[in-house]
Amino acid sequence: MLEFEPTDQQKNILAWNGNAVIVAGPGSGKTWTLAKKVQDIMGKCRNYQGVAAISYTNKASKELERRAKLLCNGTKQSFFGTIDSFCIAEIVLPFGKRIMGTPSVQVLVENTQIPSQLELIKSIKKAILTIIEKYSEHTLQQIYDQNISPYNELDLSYRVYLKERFLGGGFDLHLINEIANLIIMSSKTCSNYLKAKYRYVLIDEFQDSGFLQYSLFKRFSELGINSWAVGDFNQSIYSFKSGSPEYMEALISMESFQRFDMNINHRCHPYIQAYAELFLKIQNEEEICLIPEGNSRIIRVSLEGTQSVIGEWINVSLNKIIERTGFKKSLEIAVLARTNESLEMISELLKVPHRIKYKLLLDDDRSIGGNLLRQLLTLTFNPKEHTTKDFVEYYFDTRIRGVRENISSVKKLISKFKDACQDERKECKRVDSVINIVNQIIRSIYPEYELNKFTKEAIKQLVDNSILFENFRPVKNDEIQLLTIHGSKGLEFDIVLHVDLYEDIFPNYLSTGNAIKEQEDVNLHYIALTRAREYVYLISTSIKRIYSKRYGRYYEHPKNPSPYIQGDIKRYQLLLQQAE
Amino acid sequence: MKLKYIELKNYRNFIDTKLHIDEKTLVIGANDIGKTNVLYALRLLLDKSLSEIDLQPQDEDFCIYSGGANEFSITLNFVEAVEECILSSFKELISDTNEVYIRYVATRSKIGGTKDYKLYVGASIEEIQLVSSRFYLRALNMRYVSATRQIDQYLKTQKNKLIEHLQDARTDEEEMSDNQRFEELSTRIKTIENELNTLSFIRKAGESLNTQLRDLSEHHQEQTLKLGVDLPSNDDLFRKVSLLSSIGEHTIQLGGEGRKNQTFIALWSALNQISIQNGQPNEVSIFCIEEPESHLHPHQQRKLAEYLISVLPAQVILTSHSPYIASEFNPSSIIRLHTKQRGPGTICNLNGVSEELGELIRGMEFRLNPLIAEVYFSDCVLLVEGTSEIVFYKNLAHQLDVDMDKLNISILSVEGVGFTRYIDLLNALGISWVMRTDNDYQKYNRPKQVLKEAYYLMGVKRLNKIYSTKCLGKVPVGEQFEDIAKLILEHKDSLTENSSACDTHRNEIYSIFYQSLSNYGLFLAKVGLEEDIYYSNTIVQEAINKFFIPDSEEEEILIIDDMIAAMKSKKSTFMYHFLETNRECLNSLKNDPLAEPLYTCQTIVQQMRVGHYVGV
Repeated sequence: MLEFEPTDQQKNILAWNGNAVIVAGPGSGKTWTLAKKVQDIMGKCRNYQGVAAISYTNKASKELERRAKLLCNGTKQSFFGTIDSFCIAEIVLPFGKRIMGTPSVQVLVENTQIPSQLELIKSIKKAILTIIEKYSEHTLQQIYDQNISPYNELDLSYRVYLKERFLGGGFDLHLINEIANLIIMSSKTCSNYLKAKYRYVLIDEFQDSGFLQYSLFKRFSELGINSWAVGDFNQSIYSFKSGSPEYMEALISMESFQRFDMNINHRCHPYIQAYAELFLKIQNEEEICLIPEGNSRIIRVSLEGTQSVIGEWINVSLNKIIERTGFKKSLEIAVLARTNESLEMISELLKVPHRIKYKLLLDDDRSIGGNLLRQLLTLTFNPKEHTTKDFVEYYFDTRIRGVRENISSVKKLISKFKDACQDERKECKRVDSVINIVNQIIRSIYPEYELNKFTKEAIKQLVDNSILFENFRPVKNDEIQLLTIHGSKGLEFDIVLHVDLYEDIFPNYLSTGNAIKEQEDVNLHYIALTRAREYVYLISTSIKRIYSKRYGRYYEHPKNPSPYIQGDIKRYQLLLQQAE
Repeated sequence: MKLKYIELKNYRNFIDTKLHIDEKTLVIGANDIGKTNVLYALRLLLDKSLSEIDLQPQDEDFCIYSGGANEFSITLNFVEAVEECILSSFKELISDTNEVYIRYVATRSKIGGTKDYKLYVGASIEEIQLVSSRFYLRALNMRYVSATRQIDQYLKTQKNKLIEHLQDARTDEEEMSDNQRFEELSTRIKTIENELNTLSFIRKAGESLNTQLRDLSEHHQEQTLKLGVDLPSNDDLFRKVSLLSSIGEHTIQLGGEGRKNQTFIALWSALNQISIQNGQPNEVSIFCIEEPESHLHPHQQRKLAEYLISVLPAQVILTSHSPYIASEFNPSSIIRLHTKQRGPGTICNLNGVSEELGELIRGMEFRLNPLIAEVYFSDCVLLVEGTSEIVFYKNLAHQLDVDMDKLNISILSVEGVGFTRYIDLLNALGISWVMRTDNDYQKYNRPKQVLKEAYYLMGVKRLNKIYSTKCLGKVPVGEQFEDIAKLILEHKDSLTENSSACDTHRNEIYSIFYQSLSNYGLFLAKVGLEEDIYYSNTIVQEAINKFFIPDSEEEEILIIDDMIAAMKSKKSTFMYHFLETNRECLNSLKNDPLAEPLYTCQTIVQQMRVGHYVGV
């Protein structure tokens, strides 16, 4: 894509040199536009400057970095990562020292597991939030001029706690965004540093940002750093993580921010795009302006039975689907569901090669040990995506003397790890030996670190059920993919098989009365539709099977199809006879 | 960002020294005093050309004067750290008052044992933290030119760099126009080539060769050889560019060493421009040049100093042996490195650059000239009343085998300025001094006192005042028997309450004070130079008499009532002419008090020599 030719919409955006809010719909070429902008900025940057490119996930930031590096010779002092890693590396760890003192050991940022501490952390969060809100209308200059140190307004006992932990080499991940805000407000040196180094800050998926990220973003723009927020209201699905599109809306209403729209969908077939927009308009009770024209690309399938029949249906119909649509590669076909449970039910009966992402304990493990384990597993099972070299570069600073011996011993341990994981023989001691190897690796990097019990549990789960390792293997060409809609964000496929279209899932029965949650349900369906380039299959079944934890058994209920796919919009679907 | 001070502890010949640096600083000192060591200490922390291996400490780096210390450190303090490139590189390691500290600490297990070093950076001495490398070098570094620079080599290699530099810096229009021009030139070059090849001897050479070849071999009939001129084209052409010197249109040799040195400095400055955009530099660099005066004539030395001070866009540290450069420098920006009596190791005056020193020198009512600036480079200075003394003492030193140059001793006349000003200057520079003053009477009118007209012994008073106020750092040469302060108090009145300029009284006071004062290098004449010389011994007296009245058999003999007055009337001309022909008589002054100032200077200097100190 080196010959990336921007559209007029994109050209306007690229030419803009002030603060901006970019409303970018699905398939609008957002990542390429951002990468191109990074290239422009690099041309104007001094050697000691860069751009802070902040994405929602590590995967997304890696992708943006990759594309930017394809376009530029070098990204100078730019940062590519998540908001958490930016706060940790550029604000909390360096400038925390000025406020809390210099620790004699490396500081590891992790979520604390101890219940008593969790309560304390919650109170500290609240207290800091109060301070941040208090000063949200003050400019940084005002705060500095009046010699106010917002940090010192925090209760003394809290400050003592934070200082002790920090000097002891730890800091709670829960507090990172809060403390980052506080530090910027309390340390002029920090502001000076950020202003000197970063010409631009670009934050992606801004519709999922919370108050803390929004505060931080406003502070950056106050410092004179060109601030760009990129997002899509219609893809806001993370209210459960305190994300809300209201902040993006707040930016749009600010004078200093120019709004741009990127609404040309290069990905989806125009029919799909038009259908998706129509859906939104109907749900939001807005006037309909565009209707899908031509042969329908939205195919409606009604089946009798529970979710499992979907599996059977796919077995029979896959070839026909491929024939009909003309797309050969199975991996470009995705089954999108709301929950993992549905996917598992389908998977049980699927005979065609497929890939499902199992739910792992490791998925929720955000500890240092957990992150390290994730990297180890990726480089073991998917070396194209992540190599031992990447691992070493991530964890080691090769400029330190004496680090080379460390690196070679870690490499040896990594080999051992690979062997242990790929060893098919069932040994009872295998779990312990793997835990041991991981411990050794982590000790070589963080000598004082102890793997916590959740990570150990996560390892046990994986080693005892080696089928779970599949999550880390690259998808094969002939495997169709089974994903949750949340997991499919940012991805695209030729054909989408949208399931879970029951009346109480879309919208979720729990969302009734809650405007935000109802909107999110709409967004989810919208996202699912816009993942497809060519065809969408809307699949509903007559019975919903559900597992009740409370009673420890399965229940089956007859259900109607989701109202999202009923009514006027049916006109634009192509009904597939069950027999076909 | 400015370097404010360099602190060396146990490094090479520095035990514990803090050198304060200015915007433009001159470091002077005797050979082997450690000037290059100071620069090397800076290089360890700031020179990109030193690799990690170069940073490893050697046994020779640990100071031998500190009783075998097994640790040394070099600390740099920077202030006004506000540039963006610095903020970006140092991050949180800058204090709220914009200061940064960088420190190198080397340790060894024992002499000859394992050695290691660590680097620290921080916002204050208390807050410095261990860092893994000199990560800041892209943003903060130094540019260094050594005394042993290979000028010819440098000129050869760097001229190409300058050309490349300028090629890259062209605008698009310039580049296009150059390329067009180049094509035109290429065609012309080809034409010249062809024409050169028509020269008869070149053409004939080719023909002759071909004839021979044809006889030898049948195979290559189509191919003809010829001799020709091959002019380089394109990039090759630029390799052939040499540094030419020209007068009008005529090219001449580049020049002697001095000119080459100037060219070197000019080229080096051109290549070391710092790119600045919107008032923000790409990096902060300190320029360090050793002995820029190489091979240059005094006027050129001055010009070069002026150039370096005004043209280089950054902090500059020079080392030099040139009084011409020293006299051009802002006096408060001079650091003099020296050893001190009775103590090992190198120290520097007043811890370096100071406003106090600057005020002192500016207070001198005349412009510093290189003659005066020579004292910067001395280890001991003998201050005397006037030029007659200078002529006398130079000759005396020669006769008595006190080698002034070898010992770095200078003689300076305070005529017109006074002793005090020079003493202040020398004290501030940390230069040892010895003085000899006349024992003169001055008449004073004191209407309010009982004794309305009094004669003051000015010489003695002068010395006493200087002892009390200016000798705090002075080390006595030998054992001190009398307490001078007590003496001064005791004899206070006898110095001022004199109704007449009595000679006996003068002699009395002389014997009371001479010994104790001279131990501190404060020498009192018996009366004055001419008197002391004339009445020193018979050999000298006869020689002087003979000088004025060469031939007592002459027909017309000039009557000289007062030989002394005659000596004085001609001032230093007398001294010069007299000594021209009568030097040997000075040998008789070997044990005369006249010679003592010289011996004292000699002793002081010898006590400063390495290895001569007592104790530690």
